[in-house]
Amino acid sequence: MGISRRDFIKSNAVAATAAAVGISGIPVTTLAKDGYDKDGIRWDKAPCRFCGTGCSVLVGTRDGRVVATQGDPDAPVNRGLNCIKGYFLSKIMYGKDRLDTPLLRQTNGKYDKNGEFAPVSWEDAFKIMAEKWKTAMAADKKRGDGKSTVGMFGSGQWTVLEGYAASKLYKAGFRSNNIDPNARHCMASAVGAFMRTFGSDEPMGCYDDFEHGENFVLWGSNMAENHPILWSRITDTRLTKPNASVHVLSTYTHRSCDLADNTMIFEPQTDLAIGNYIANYIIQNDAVDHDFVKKHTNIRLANVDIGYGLRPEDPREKNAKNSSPRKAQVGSKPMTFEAYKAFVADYTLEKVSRMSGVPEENLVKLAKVYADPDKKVMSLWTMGTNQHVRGVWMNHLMYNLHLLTGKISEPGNSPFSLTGQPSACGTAREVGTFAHRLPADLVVMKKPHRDFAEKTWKIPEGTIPAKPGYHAVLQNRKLKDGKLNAYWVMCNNNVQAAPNLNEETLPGYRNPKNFIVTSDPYPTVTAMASDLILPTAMWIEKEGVYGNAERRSQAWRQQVPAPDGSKSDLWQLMEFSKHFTTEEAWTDELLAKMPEHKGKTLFDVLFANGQVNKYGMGDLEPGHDNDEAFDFGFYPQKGLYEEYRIFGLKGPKKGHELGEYSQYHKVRGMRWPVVDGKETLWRYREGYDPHVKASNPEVEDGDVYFYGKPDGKANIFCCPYEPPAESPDNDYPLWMSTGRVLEHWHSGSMTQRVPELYKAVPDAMIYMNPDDAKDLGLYDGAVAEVSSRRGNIKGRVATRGRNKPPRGLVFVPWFDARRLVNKLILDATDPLSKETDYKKTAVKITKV
Amino acid sequence: MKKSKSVLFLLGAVFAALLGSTSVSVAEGPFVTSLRGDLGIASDAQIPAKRRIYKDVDPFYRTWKEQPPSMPHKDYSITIKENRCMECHGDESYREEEATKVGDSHYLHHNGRKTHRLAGARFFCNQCHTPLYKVEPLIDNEFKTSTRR
Repeated sequence: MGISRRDFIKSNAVAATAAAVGISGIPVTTLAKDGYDKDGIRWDKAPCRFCGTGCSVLVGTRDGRVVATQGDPDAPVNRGLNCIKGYFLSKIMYGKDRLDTPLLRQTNGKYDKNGEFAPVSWEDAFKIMAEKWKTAMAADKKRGDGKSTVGMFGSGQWTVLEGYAASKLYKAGFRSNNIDPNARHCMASAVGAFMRTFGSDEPMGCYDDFEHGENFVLWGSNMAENHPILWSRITDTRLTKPNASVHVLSTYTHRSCDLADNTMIFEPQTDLAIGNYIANYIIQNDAVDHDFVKKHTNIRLANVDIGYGLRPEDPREKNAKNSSPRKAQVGSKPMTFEAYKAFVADYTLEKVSRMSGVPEENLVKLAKVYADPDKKVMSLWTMGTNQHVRGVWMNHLMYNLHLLTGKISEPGNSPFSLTGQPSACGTAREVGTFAHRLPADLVVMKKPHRDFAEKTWKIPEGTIPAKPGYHAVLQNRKLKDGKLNAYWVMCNNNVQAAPNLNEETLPGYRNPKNFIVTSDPYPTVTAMASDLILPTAMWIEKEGVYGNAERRSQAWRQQVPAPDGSKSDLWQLMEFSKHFTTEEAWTDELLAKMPEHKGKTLFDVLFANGQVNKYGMGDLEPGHDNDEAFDFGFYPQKGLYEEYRIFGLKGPKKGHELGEYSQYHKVRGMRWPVVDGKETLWRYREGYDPHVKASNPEVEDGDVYFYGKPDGKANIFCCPYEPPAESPDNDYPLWMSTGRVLEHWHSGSMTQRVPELYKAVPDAMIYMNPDDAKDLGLYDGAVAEVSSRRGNIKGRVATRGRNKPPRGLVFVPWFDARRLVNKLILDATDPLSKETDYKKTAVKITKV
Repeated sequence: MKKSKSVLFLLGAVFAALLGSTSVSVAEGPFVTSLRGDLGIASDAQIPAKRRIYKDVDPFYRTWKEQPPSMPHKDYSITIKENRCMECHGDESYREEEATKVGDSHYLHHNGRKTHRLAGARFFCNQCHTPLYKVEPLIDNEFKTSTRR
């Protein structure tokens, strides 16, 4: 065992916890020096498999199986605690229906799109897959229109290494940008606003703000259920710090309101008006930090009437002035402070209170938190803000409040975008597995960025296509339209997750023109809608790195073998690349630029390139398996990470440095930028962030410099209220919001297989206001059908549950595979971020 | 892998309708089903049975000391003003109420300092403790703990 093990043992916190608990179980104090305790259980660290919080757990393994897990007392994120899901992590790999062989739809032993699933060997699975990919790629080459018909839907649950390998295989190997992560459904709006506002993705602050802060505002986030460990830190601050307060904005009452000093239930979509009202209040009450605004910001007026990201023939797109082209959607122009002041002056207290339904005194109470120069404020948001047809705008409106008052980039003053997946930041965003991105904030549209990636990857100039590929929602439309034909879904459950299942997703997956592959440890509904299922190793059955919401990268080692027959995503991606020669994947013109790549496989040029295969078996940690290394003959995780790291160290965008790979195995994560082995807690402020002075030597101590933008200034974006894509009417008179519950994670493919978690919340309930229920002849426990213009589900009504909607709104969680609530959702997105609005669907409820 | 009975997949018919193709018949194989069991993806959901919670003391086997015990009763509301769980499980009341005493670990600040009241980070009991419903597991789980308890 390495140094990390000795770190555990030395720790005072471990000793304190173990001494204090002293009940039955496996005491931490029995940890032996080599990481094994006296019962022969080996303890090692790993980040939790679930949400974006990034708790660390200690995993106890014996005889190749997990026998226990516990919160990691040394972890700065969770300090020994877990939420209820985390406490049952030990069971997620042991569902009885774990897949252990590839399954192909067949009739009489041959592939048949309409056949039944039957086992095939990995060799045969890859053979038919490669055949389908090659057919698609040959047709693409022949057409020569630059459009690729191969694609992939990836994940914010991929390890950093897996996302990097997938992105490289698609963008460089297959020359297709049709790769997008499920993070598109989750925080694409946050990314869009980070780039537009600061020119650099991810929060400036960190979790230390929970203790430094005193006023916390939730703008569309139920942290109590969805980020419970972070909520426990806020709770601690609220209960122990004088003058601390918690403000919760939501469209329904939920558990986070239990801690709130100020609960504000607003009419869906009117958060846009509330954001502008607070800006107006700040200006009207002379609370603007004018020095800060002048020195550190530009003000821009965003183009309006930008549509809803629907198919172009939809009247809502046709009638919108700026729904296309892209330039019109994203466009903006400079604005003076006076003009901005006049713009927000329209959002008066009376008007916004009337629009939102929030009483005036609550709005004023909230506004004062931002306006009072002596109050520290942390704004937090997740899906309520991001899954929003104006999600990027809503993110802007929150940044505006922090920029107007200069309350940013310092302990406790922190606009903080939370993430839902364990590596949404690490893998989806930092690695750049989106259809338009490359590692370290680079994008495919910019020639210098492509040049840098191609040079780093040692591949010919011009390999990476310049046009963004198909994003998540567009992928399903293209599948349906037969324009995306060879498609790989990995590490996600998109048939359950994506909007408009009946009209877009399912017809796309079952389109006879398409061959759909799903890699998963379990038979999810996505797997069942596919043509080939690949059984997949998960979590600590492989080595990996995750990046959490506070820019913290955390590494873990393989701790148990995967079930026989299943393989990690990394192995699958790398092994599949062996089936293609460069001649098959690339053009002659491209190969002529680097003739040395002729006659090689994609594996040779992408992974055996002298960088990814640089580290040998001798670099592995003794005592730990690494199935991929044993198969490939080198240490791919380290090689991939070190190659990936070049983007942050030498790439065109500054402020993305990562530490050496081996360092991450010794610590409980580090927050980037990691400069000279040191992590960065607050970005953009001199004294905390080494990039400030490096970017502009003139910046004084303690001052900020937003170096993501060429002039060092952040953008205040002026954005109005605009209506949602659909609203309740006579036929569908209620709003429906979907979301999550504490006990299950995302689509439930892991947590529904843990008996205790299943028993805690067996079914998705239809949460209703008791008066609405009564009007429909319903009551708590009654059976009802929820339907929209696109589909319906049946379930039981809850009027006394943990979620308490106001009249006119229902809430249904989406974890329950037996109630695929996303059937009901319209595939409307924020046109800027392409993220679906899962929070505003018009539905009706009928008694069954 | 779980074997289940061969069932006709409703999907086929739905695709046929959606895609305008004829005589598509997709069968869900005998080898694998999703958590929907026999239910096709496009079909309406089945109606869940009425659920009742366990009133037994801790109906699951704790595999690790820090696994939070379940509640053998309905959950009570916890708000910033009052934590009703502590009315029975607190230091002063647990004997009289014959309730399980809140663990000592819950009176420790994260820095190891003892707290007089329930530690702030532990205030919302329902982040870890929950009632369980009397239902059979959806899927059996083959996790095995160490021999010691």
